[in-house]
Amino acid sequence: MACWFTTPLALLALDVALRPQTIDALFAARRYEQAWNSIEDLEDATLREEWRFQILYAAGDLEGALRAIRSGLALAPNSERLLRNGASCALALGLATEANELCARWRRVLEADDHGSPERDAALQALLRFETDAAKLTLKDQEANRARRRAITATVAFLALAATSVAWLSRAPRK
Amino acid sequence: MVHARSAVPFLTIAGVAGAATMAVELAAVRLLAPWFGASSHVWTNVIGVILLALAIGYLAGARLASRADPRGSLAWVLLFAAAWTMWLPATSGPVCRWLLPPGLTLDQSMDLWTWGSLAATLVLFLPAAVALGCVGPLAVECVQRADASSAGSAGGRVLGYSTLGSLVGTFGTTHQLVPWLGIAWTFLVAGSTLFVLGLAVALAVRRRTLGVAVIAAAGAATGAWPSARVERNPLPDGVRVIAEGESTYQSVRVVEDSRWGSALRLLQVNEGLDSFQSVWAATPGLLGLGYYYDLFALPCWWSGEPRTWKVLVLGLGAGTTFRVLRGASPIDTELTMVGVEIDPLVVDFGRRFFDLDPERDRVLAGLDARSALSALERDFDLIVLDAYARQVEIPFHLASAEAMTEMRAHLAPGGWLAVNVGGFGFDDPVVEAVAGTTASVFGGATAYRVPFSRNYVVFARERGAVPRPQEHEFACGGPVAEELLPALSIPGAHRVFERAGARSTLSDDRNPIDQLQFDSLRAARARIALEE
Repeated sequence: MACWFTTPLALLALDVALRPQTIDALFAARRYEQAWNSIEDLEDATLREEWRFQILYAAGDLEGALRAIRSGLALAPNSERLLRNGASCALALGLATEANELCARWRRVLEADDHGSPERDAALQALLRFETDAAKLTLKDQEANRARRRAITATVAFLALAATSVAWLSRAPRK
Repeated sequence: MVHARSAVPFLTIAGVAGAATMAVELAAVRLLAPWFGASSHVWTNVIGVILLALAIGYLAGARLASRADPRGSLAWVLLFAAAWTMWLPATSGPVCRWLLPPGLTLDQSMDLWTWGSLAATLVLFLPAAVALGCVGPLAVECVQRADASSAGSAGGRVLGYSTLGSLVGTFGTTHQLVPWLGIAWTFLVAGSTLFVLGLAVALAVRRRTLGVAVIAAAGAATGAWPSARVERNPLPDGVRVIAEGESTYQSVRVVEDSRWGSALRLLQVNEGLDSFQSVWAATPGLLGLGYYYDLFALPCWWSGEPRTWKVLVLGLGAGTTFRVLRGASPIDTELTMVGVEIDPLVVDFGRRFFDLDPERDRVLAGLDARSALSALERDFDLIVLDAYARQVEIPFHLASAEAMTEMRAHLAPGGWLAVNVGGFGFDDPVVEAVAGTTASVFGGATAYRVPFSRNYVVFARERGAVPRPQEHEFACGGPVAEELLPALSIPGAHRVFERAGARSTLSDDRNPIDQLQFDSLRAARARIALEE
């Protein structure tokens, strides 16, 4: 009966790569398997990873989508699209460290581009939202770590008290 | 000196203390469940801490028993246990929230399920249980002095009455107190009973210091009653509770979630985190991305739009599978559906809030799925195994090769088994164990990853093959298939399981499913994180 989601999904703002027509048509028709098989025909390796991400994400495989992003970023470390989608995916999966790192890299890429444009402004706005969400996620992780330390400390303290009590109470009472 | 005329009052106290100990122990799990779940680990922590507390209590009681008048100590420990027990419902919320902050996701909370529940059990229940442990030796001493009996005679009688009291406390708590009065009142009743006994002993002893204890305990009791309510994790904005109750098995509530547009109703049992057990949408049929129930509609389409389709759901919950199949099966297929649900309160909520209609569909409420199987016919086209115990664990007796064999025997030729499994990948220990066991029984099984969720549906077939992508039978056509199949067709969306080895097959005899589940949850993050 138990059902768990990997939400929040609303965070992901798909930024579609250059779309070779065949894959685009197959993807739009939700013929993911054929679209997937067409990826190998692409010459650009980074684009291949972007399409893998698109298809895996659309099919609901967030872990696979993030792996595709990582492969893409190994080829094109400064790809804004990959950084943005990767940050979004990492956030959806609750990976605070990776989300923060991708946001930081994305910010560096955006700030290196000093030509103001509406697209750049919109990207900065999106980045700000992502950074806020990543910061919240980090806080939650830290909160969980603190709670874990509290739990371990309380457990050890109580068990030590219990052991001391047992040792002291086990002595035979004085007549 | 003890001046009691007979040993009966002390034997009564021993019996009531035994009952109170069991009430505290059994209700403790229920009190912790909204925060930490009610998994085997939580049960083990509670039982372990109570045993530790009793051991300390016995030793402390032995020491106190050597005093001139042990009745004074007896009154003290009874009054202390009473006050502490009565405050447990009010204090559990802040303590549990301190150890498990709200808003954490399932994988963020993994370690806290064990450490947090252990710490919470120690903080909340150890003191009262130590005091209750003191009662036994003190009662033995009082009995021995009252009727000048031997240590063996006094000890034997106290143990006997204490154990009988524990027996009454065990059955009374599970079957009467918790279902009828609720968790908070169970603690109040147990604490109040102990208070009355403590007061009676204090009045018999008439010592000034005991007067202080009585006044303190009475003050604590007076404060505990109005504040006695069980706190649960706060719900996010846009989610409200429609109904809640306590059953013999669990805390059950129905919430309405309006955060994503049209309202969904969710049935939650014990949940403090991000999971639920049944879901209701306004329109019957497919629920959409992320809901594993939708995949249960596929076998009917894969079977070629049969004219009749007989379905058995083991672990019906509030009837989501019925509702999905009713709206998502081929239009001219006549559905006959049978559901087994162990918790009658869940069925009641299903009837009231999830459009479950026991008049139209056969619902066997209050029965265990495996024992119900023996009474059911053997011609089902589809058996759905969707049973979960203690929130996250498939009950071990339903995840064994023997259970799967029984399910297989209830399938018509060509019939399907569909198993919902929570997991984090095809190599997740639970997914591998359940799918491998299914494959061992059926000669093969295919697991499909449910998009946007942490669930997998394992399909197996009696005398037939499960369609796989690229096979002709997979693309079955129809609106449901068009909706569901694209996401299942890409590489990595399914895995074929062959027969598992004897060591890997779960059986009635060797079934570590609860440990596998724990390992799965604990390793969840490490599976996808790079360096976190």
